[in-house]
Amino acid sequence: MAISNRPLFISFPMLDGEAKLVESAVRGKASAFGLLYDHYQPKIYRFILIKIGRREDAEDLTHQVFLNAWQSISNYKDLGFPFSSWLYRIARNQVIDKYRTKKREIDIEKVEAEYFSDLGLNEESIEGKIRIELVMEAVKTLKQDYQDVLIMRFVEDLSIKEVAATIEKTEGAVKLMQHRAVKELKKILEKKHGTNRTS
Amino acid sequence: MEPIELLKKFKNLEPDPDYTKRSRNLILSNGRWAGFPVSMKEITMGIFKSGWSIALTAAMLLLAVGSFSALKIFSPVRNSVVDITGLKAEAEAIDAQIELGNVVYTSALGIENKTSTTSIASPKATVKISPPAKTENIGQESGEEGTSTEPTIDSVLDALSQ
Repeated sequence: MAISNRPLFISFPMLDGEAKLVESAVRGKASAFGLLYDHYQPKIYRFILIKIGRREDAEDLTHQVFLNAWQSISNYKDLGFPFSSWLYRIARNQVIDKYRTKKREIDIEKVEAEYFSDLGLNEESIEGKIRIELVMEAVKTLKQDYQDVLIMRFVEDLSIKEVAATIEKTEGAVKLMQHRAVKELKKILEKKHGTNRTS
Repeated sequence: MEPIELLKKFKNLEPDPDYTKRSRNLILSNGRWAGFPVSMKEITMGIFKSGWSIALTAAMLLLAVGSFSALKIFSPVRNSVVDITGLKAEAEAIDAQIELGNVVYTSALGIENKTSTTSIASPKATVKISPPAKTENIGQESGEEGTSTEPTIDSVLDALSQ
């Protein structure tokens, strides 16, 4: 099992001189915010895309996240957490708002294979593509908090502490959520895999 | 199937470079700090905002104080402050003369009523009762009241008011 060999407290690589960049951005320096954008935009985009599942929506929301961040950066207070925590929190709220205002347009069960192939995954084999599609489908059936923990921990390699700061829970709660999320994801995948084999 | 390993494959997801470039330029050019000098904009907005809020607060204060004073002047509560005992004494000192005119009787019974209005008069008051005027139609109007031998309170009050 891969997760057992993996250290749980990997420190998220922060941008070099991030504190100074954030400080400059808070003072209104666009070039400083530009560098922060370059570093964090792909991560936020991935985070949103996995949760939303549509490239266009993910692009719109990512743009909105950074626009909101730039417009309200003067209110940013350094509480000892990485800048990414703040961005992820904006992204989470953005996704929640998106779901609130517009119910999911796509029925995950009826999604065609091309839909996921268009996401930009560099998976060559058909079997690999199908697997990724299945995981993506399965992740979306999880609770929002479980999704966040799985993406932040295993896609973005955030530490437990950083995830806890982002989703505003204790580290213990995050560990528990991670354990439950992985267990539930496995269960869903086994069920789906079984269904795929029989069909 | 190992879900964690599969999740890691999502690391390959990358946004479209054209979109990234466009979005970056849009944010940095149309964002909060673009256009006006920050300090000027903030100061102007601050002046407008604080000016409006001060004006509104002053207006609300004036309204509150004004309405409170008006209440004090026009409130009926003010009357309750009047000395009750003094008022009573004053009322008793009045030599009231109440003339009851047009006390009506019910035509149905045709009984001459001697009013009991003396009982409601003050000790010093003298009551002059004018000769009873019998009316034909009162009985119809008063309905059940017409069966009583004494004048109704309403009719006495009517008479008093006249």
